[in-house]
Amino acid sequence: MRKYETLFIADSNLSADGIKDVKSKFENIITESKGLLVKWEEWGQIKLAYKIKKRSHGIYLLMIYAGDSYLVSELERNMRIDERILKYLTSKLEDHFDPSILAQEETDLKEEDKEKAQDTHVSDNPETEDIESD
Amino acid sequence: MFKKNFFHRQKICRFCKDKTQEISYKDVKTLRYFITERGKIIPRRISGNCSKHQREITRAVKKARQIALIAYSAQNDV
Repeated sequence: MRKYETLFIADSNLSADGIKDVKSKFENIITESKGLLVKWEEWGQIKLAYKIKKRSHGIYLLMIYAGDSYLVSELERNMRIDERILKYLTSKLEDHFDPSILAQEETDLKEEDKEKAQDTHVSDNPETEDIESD
Repeated sequence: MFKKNFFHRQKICRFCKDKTQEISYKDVKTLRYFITERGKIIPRRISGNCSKHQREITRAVKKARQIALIAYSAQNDV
């Protein structure tokens, strides 16, 4: 198993439900190909540095997952077909990915969350970075 | 005679200095230091990067261009 990340640009006209739809579609493809979704990151709507399909804005979504090379080609094939996706970029993060590490990290995180929750109420402040382009 | 009057600033590779800093195509704020207003990659003799990190910067900039985070060149309307 290898660890990959795919950053893709979705149509900025999509509603929140539309984004959910896109996400679940790729999640299904990952699970079908026996891959493992590590995490999603939403960057929100960002101005594109140049126009793609005559659009100047796009919603950036980052998907980090693990799987075989077949899974990557399958995801990219689907992104090319899907008209909601303007562009995508896949890069390899790790050559050897051990799924058990992920499970371990999850339990660690949960324990940390529990500790935090006990100490103070943690407010959710996802860091949103504004990337502007000239 | 005037040759010695050239201004020499000591250049240190900022990524060698600060080893915690990673180069990523997703980190546009950092990459902006290494591109000109027109979108060209700044050469090593000016940016002061070491060869290893300049290579990584180049790769990151080219990736960022692919996914429209950085422009390939300045647009006409700018």
